[in-house]
Amino acid sequence: MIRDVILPQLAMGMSEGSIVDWLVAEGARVERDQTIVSIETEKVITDLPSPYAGYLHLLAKKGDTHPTETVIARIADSEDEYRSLVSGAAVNERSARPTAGDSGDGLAGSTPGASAQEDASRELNAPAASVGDARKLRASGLARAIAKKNGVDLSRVSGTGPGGRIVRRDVVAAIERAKSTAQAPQLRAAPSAQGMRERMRIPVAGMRAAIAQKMLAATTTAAQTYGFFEIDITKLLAARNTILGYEDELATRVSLISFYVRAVALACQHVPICNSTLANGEITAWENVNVGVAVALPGGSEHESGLIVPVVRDVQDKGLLQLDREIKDLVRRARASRLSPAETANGTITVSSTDGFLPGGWMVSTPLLNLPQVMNFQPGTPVEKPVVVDGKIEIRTLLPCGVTFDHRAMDGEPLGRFVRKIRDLLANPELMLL
Amino acid sequence: MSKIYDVAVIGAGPGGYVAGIRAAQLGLSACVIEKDTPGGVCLNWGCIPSKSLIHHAAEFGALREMEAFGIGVDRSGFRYGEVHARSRSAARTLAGGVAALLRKNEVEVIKGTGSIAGIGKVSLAGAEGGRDCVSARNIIVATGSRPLSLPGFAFDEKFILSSSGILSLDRLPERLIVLGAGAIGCEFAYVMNSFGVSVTLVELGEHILPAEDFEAAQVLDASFRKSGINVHTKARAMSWERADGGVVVDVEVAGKVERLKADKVLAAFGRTPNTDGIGLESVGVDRTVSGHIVTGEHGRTSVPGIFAIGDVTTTPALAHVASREAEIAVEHIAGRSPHGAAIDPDLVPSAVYCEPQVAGFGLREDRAAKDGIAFKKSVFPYRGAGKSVAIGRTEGLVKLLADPATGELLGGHIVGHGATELIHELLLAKSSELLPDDVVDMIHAHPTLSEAIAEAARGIHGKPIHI
Repeated sequence: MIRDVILPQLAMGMSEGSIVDWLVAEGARVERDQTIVSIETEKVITDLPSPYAGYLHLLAKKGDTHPTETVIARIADSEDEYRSLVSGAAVNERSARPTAGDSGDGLAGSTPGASAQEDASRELNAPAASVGDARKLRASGLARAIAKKNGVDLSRVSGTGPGGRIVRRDVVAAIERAKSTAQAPQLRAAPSAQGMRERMRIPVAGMRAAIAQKMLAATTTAAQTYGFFEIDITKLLAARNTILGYEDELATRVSLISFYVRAVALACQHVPICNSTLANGEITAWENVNVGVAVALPGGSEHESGLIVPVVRDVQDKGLLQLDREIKDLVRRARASRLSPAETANGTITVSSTDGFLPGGWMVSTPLLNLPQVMNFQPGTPVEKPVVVDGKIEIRTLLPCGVTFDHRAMDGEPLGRFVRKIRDLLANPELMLL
Repeated sequence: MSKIYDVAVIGAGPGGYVAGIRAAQLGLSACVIEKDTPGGVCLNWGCIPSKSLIHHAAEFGALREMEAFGIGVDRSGFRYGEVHARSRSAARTLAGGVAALLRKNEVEVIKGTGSIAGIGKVSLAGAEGGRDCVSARNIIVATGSRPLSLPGFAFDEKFILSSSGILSLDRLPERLIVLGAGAIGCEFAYVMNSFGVSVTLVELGEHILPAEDFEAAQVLDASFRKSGINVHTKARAMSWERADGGVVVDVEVAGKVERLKADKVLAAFGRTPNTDGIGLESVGVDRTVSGHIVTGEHGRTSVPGIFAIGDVTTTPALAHVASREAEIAVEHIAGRSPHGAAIDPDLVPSAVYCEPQVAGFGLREDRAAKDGIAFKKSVFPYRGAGKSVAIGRTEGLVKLLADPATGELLGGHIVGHGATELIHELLLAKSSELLPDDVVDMIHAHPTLSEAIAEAARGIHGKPIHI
């Protein structure tokens, strides 16, 4: 059998990598987990182990830069197969894709090295959990074994298995996270002059680098313009409460974000320019409304935080229930570092809700554009307020909203139509039935 | 005529009919197009009728045990035709059952030959009411496979039989040569030998059941030889000719050509996908050189809106794989994904239904050695479990391969009585990420064959009690 070695996505946001050097020669016999190549990604150099044993045929050259998932080498089981491979006669039987964080049967291979292990321990080791805690913990036997071997504290790992059980992939993801946040082993700084003492040093690499680059691009290249408004969502909350009455039957608690995403898609169909991208001197308005949903990846300390925007595709064709399922699935997997690159690509507009992690009473902030998109809608945390209705003061629930658009691509007039539409839809949810 | 289905399935085998029913359960409008009887090869010309034959072969063989107790059994009234009729009746009953399930779930079954005419369009030939096409947002190709014919041994179903051909026989040959000792070849070798046919089994590979673990296959090999089957491994069938109303097959064994005589030959070289003449090329669905459809996640083909499941794809040609792939594709079409995006080949059980049975999943020892995968191994023989001695079924073993670092079950193999049922305890352990110690911790009833599983698991880290 001949199998592919691909350039894996080692960190979220990594889209390409360079071959620093091949550590074995063309045609060499390699063992499984033997280090075969050094890869450079956004300022990190990583040595990759061979996913299989066999005879190595190099495809990518030293110094080349390739997108992730590119086949950089092939491994033949036998010398015969290697010869046929080199002569170009062999047909690839099946490509296997080892990815960081989900190494299939190659667990031994993904064991962190000694120093990474130390860092992982520092990150993950809490004081020994009490007996009571341990009994409540639900984890598979294999997950426990891997956690023990790698010094991972399972009480800090959230489970994605049946019934929320911690399974292998959750532990592996935790180890990978610890590894990537522990990329700076020389963090502890000595006291320096002028009485300044460093707490930590965080390399701008991996996801941090990707976020930095995108955010800077948004502020430097787009003509970002902001708008703020409130929507009376009292009726929407009542409608949602009715739906929640059927929670058992629907097997889900339909969340507010699903309504927002649905309303955005309908508003986009009403004002198509909002659902467009601006790149290479062209504005493309899209038929598909692919809504990016910004997901905060919280961490125990500030340098662990992250942000990723999985995309719900073709929202215009989907009902609330389906949107709710898809969003929950994407968010869950985003938090478990289990999104594929395709699932964060091709968004046409973004919704960045701050509900849930910014404190109540917070109004809105100014979301940055997710380029090349031209609009980012930010619903905040609903708040009860006195409102004048028909000359009387009533207590209503208001949703503070922020919206950012790219004034290069569109102007205030369509924004006004978009805001009116989204306000109508969220204030009068029955309009979403149309 | 203008109706657009959410899902149109071509083929009503264990992939297609499950796809249709699951689609309907998820609220999608679905039709299944089938030119023959619902149930496919599995139900009509494979798994089901062959299991009927195997069951009766085992009962027939058990008569010998009765004789050991002094009960004389007169076999002169034995009519194979009745056994054959029973297997056909089992197939008919279940085919009727599938048709009823499809009806109950309001899946429209269109009798006719379907082929893809374009994206979202399936043309029909020979359909009732002169209907000539159906439109669908999604098309699932589930046309299955047929016995693989190799040059020089084309099926004439008179002398050179396919697996379907041998299932149609209502009279036993006196002598049978079986070419190919995969699951199908071994099952028929067992059945025919049990009914008194003189059987020669010829396999090109290193051992019979080349897809199974070597050690497990060895147990069956020894059992076959003991029961009188003439087994040749590393043997190549060269050619055949007719002679004396039967056949002579030239087989090269260890550099020498042997001329084997028989009445009929069963050619069980494997299966080949039914992917020609169903319109795949009209829309450019990618295929491998062997004709299998290339699929990605959720059974997607290279053409949007067209999915492929079961034997037409490159995954193992097993009914239970087809059924699961059907669920994966349909759930995806319905916007759900409860089973992941593809089957995990390490979690697919294989099952061979002769006596002793062979079943397994995951890593095989020969594969591990080849790939340089580290493993810890434990083998527990059936005879160590009291139950096997009590019922006189001591042939067999349970074999586990586990990761030496974590204890993860990498592979499980059982050969012996009831193996195809017993394997599921191990497979559930594997799929739920249980470790050998978890299996040991569970109290196994005594006396059962399952105790052999617990003992094999015990052998990974400690010592079994009963050996």
